[in-house]
Amino acid sequence: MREDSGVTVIRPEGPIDVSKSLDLRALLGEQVASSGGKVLVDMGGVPLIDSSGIGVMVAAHRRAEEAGAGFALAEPSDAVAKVFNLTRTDRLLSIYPSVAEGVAALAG
Amino acid sequence: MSEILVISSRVEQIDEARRWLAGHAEGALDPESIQEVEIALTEALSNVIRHSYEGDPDQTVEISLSIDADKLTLAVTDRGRGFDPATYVQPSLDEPAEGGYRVLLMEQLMDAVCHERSPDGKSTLVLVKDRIPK
Repeated sequence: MREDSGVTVIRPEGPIDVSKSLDLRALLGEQVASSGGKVLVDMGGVPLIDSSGIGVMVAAHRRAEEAGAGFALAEPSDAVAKVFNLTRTDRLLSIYPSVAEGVAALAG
Repeated sequence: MSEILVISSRVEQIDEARRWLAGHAEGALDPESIQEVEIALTEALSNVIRHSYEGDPDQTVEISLSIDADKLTLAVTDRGRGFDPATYVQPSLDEPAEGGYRVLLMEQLMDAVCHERSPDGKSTLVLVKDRIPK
């Protein structure tokens, strides 16, 4: 986890599946809960995501909306992007091709 | 070829199952297809561990893998409550949800998904990925 232009960048490493999703849900919930928080998940280290991981991202997005915070994802691999696309959650979530673009969008 | 892996019903074991699958599928499928099968296997195992066995960590799950000229077939077998994908109601894709995508992903990422229940109480989910000739 690091700060970049007022944005908290979280970079999970490895697959996001049911064995990791509870911890990640708690971490993201904590980060977006504070009003005005800006959280970007750098997906560059995530080769795979399952339905529980998708649920974590949708939940974080909704919590951010409720708290007036910002939440986005960046740099999904093709396999990860495909899962967001198949579930059509890519229509809800803000997903950027690069971390720099995600940070710029949230910081602005 | 055909191989069998037996894991305990713990979510931490899913990663081992994916590695086992990827190791055997390498060369038989393209990397993108292997990732798709890995996701489908993850969903199948999650379903067994969390729902069929209701979180009981002391059960076992058998995964059989066969690869022939036309297809890769995974069969995930448990002795829990079982699950029939035919009873699954897909969530509305117009309203993104926090769950409910497990069967949708298996069906979208694989070429065939079916469920078998044997008289001795075994429940088997069969996942098939066609091999595309090079």
